[in-house]
Amino acid sequence: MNLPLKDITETVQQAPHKTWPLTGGVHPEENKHQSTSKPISKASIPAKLVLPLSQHAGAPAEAIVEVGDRVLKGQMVAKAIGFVSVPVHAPTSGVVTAIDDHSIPHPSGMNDTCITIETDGKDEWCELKPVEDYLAVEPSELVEHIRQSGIAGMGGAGFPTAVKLSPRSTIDTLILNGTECEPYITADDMLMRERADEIISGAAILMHLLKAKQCLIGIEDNKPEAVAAMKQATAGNPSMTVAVFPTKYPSGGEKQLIQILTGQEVPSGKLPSDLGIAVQNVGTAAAVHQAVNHGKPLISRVTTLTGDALGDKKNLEALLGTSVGELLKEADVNGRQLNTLVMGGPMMGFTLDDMTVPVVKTTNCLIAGSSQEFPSSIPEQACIRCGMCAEVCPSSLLPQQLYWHAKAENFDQLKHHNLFDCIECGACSFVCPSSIPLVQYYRASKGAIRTQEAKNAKAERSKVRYETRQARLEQEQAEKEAKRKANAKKAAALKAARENKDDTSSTAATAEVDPVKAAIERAKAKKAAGGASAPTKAALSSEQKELKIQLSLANAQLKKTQRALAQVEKSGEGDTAKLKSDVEMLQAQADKLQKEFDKASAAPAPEAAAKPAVSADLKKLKVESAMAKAALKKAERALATALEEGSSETDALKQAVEEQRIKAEELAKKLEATSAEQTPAAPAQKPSADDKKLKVENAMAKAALKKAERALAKAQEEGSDTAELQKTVDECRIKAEQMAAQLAAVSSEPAPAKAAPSKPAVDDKKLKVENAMAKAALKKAERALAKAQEEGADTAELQKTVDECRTKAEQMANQLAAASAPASEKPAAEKPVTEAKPAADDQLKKLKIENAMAKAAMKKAQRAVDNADGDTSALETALAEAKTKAEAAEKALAEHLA
Amino acid sequence: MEIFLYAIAALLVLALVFGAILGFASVRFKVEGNPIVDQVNELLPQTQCGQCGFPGCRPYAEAIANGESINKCPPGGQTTINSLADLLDVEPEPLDAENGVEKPPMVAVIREDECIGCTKCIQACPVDAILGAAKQMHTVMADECTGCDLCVEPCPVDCIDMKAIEVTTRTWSWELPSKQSQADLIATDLRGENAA
Repeated sequence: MNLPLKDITETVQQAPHKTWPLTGGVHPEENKHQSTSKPISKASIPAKLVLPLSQHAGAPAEAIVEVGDRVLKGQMVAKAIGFVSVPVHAPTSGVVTAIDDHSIPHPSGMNDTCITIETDGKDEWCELKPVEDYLAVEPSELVEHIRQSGIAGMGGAGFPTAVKLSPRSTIDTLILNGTECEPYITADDMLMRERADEIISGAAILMHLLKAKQCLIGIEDNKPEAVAAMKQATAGNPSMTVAVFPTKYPSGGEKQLIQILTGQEVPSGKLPSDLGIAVQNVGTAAAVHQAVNHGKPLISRVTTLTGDALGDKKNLEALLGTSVGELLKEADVNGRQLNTLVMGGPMMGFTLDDMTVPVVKTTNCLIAGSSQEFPSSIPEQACIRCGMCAEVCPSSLLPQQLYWHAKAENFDQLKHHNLFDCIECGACSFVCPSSIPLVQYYRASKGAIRTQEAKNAKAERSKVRYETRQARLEQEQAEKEAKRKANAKKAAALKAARENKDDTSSTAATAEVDPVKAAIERAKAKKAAGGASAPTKAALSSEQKELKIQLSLANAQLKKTQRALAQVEKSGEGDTAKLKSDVEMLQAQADKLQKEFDKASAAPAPEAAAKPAVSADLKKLKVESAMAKAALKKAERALATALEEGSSETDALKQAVEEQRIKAEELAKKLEATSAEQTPAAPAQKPSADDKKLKVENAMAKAALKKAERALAKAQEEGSDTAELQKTVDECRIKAEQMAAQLAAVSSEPAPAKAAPSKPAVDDKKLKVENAMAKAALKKAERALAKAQEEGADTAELQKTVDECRTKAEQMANQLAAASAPASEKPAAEKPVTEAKPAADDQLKKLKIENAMAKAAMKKAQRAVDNADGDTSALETALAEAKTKAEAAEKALAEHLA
Repeated sequence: MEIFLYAIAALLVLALVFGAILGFASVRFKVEGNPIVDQVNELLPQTQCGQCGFPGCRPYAEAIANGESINKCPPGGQTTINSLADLLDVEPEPLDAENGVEKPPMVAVIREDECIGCTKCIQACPVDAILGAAKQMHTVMADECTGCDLCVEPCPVDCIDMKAIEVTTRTWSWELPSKQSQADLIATDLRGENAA
């Protein structure tokens, strides 16, 4: 009774594959016969194709073509981004006319990025690269080829096929899903009837890739023609088995089909690949065959067109991107009958409101339903706890419990009841006698839970970032503190050393402290060295003089600060560290000045020696003039004393004075004449040097002023005697102002001498800085005023300060405007437009910034007014001011632009 | 009489023994810090916006642990209040309007051509979500932005907008069926109403 091997395999093949029953499930009316009477026909090429970049599950593709590009049929127009993503290809040749938002098939009815191609009707293929022998190619390369062909699951979910083909565990069974359990849809049925060979060829490739030992092809028993075709195609292939099982919805779910064909249940939270099983749709297998054996990417798909509103119900092979409206026209749609347009099946599909949405990789069916076919839903009623939903649930969930918890938004309980195992098949809603839209509750809850989880993840990330930042700030603070302490320590050590020095060598100390003496000594030394006859004072150039003044100023400042420090130290209160650092700084400054002064006073000597011929006359004259002046002065003084004392010698003295004056005047005239001859020697450099010096002085004076002010503020805080400090501050201020005036005078003078374009810029910048500072001062004063007002303190003085500051700021602004106007105009007038542009741009930018700031100020003021409860009149006036300012700025900007 | 003495002695011994055990346990299983603070902090949205009146989420969590009311977090909204009420076993209360109202999630967006590069917003951002340097244009890392609003005020040119995060096809989700369709009428009654 030994049968030959061949016979045995035939018997095995003939024997029906054992199947297990589906848990739950329902029997909705099938409505499949309407669309199976005609073979699959090709849809005509429409004038326009719209390709969404996201036709699959996962990250959207990224366009690699630009508007205006000509594309060929099969050419990639968008590349995959990331692992779970697939590219998009041009379904026919044409020109890209747009890459923008277009309505896409999505239950939300929202728009998404799409590539629009205007077809040219030539249907010109690009170069195809089929894989000649897939058995000889490295599996990873083959998977990449499938990925680049844009294949995503064609059953409905659209999961990238390449991802499913790279499982982490070994696969022994490949299941081809030809179940097509949803009513109306016949796309897979027709595909199996007509292209069984392609499907089997694709399945062989998939088996090779997955190294699967067997392939089960699951088909419901309501498709006998498809079963016959597939059986015929697999005949002689022992590893492929066609399994037929009773029709029941939803047998086509991945996990459900696995259970029917193998009896195994995929545990919650696990994937089929964990059981060594991979499930692919029959359409996907056909697409893989096309991609590998013919090199054709996924550019079209079989779509069922059915529903009572269609005159010609059939299956069409439509190019991806064809609009739904075009396809319905091909199926002879009756617009008056069309009530509901559904994409997908009636159980899991969604309605479309827009006929322009394109067909995508997952569009397996379009149902143009009449109002009889899809009556409007019956209103939801109360749950009567009949339990029918639990009976039909294919995932053995408790739909009722889920419903209650979804209603109460009790996410923890929903997760506890395995909401995420729900496949949203709609069987529960289908049987619910109260017509509760259960699936919608589950979908909404799933969405809410996902949102919540994303929020939690983000909160966690934010927390980490916040804590990291806090730690960083603390560290920075600690570092600063450490640095400050180290500095204070250093300063103390320095001071101690200096005091030591004071004790040991008093002369050095006096020399350091007493600048006058030092100056005298230096003068003496110089006199001895040079042996010049000129008096010391006259020998000092104006430069040196200035330096000397500065030096003495710095020394005075230093002394004052030291005294303050001593006082503070004695009283033991106040911030000694700061004073110490101030002292140190001043000391450094004084030292520097001293050095400069030394240098300056040393310099003239060699200069005089180098070119005595030139300046000897002049020098002599100068000396004489100075002497005469001194004599005159002396005589005048003597006269004054004599007059005061009422002595008799006044007449003689008067005469002497007259004589001296005449002499001095003569000498002065001579000197002028001589120097007029000689001065052209070096006039060019002098002004700039002076300018620089003046600037330095100016800055120093300002610094001194600031310091004095600070000291005053502190003193005021501490309630100590401020009269002296006030005086110092006033002095400093006067000095600073003088300096500024001088500087202004000097810098305005030499401007033309120097390079014309750079100077105004410097001025401009300075003005700007000043302007900004004035503004800042104004702001600060205003803030102080506000605070004082809040606290109910005396505000009259503060108000005055604010007003002053404001006038100053306005002046500054005016000056700046005046200065910047010619600066920007000049180059514009002088130079060609191209070169003038940057300057104009600068100006424009400045104006824009001003405008923006004015606007911001206005907005802020508005907000303040809105927020203020009580008296808003002051705020309102401020707002009005801000408004006028903003308007002015706007106008200026407009003028400039014009 | 003797029996009383025995009883007292026995109770005394027992008391000592249990006292010793309790004393040991309190030392051995001592809990560092207040664990409830961490649990509360986990539930807060970590925007660090300070709308609650505390300088960050953790300080507010500490305050809650010390008896502060739980309805002062506008970014968390009712969801956070409910979960806090669950955790602390107190009645959930509506959001305190004094601290602000619940808004959709926002993200700060810098109008980049108006930015003057002052770095003030960078210093204000509690989660370091703004990128930029002095005199360079700044930009917001939208993924890290908590929408706390703190960068808007310091901007001198007011070039920061708070924009509601738009729903895309990827973040869209179904809504619960509307309340209207949940009429407590049976279908036949409803039909009658429509006819009328």
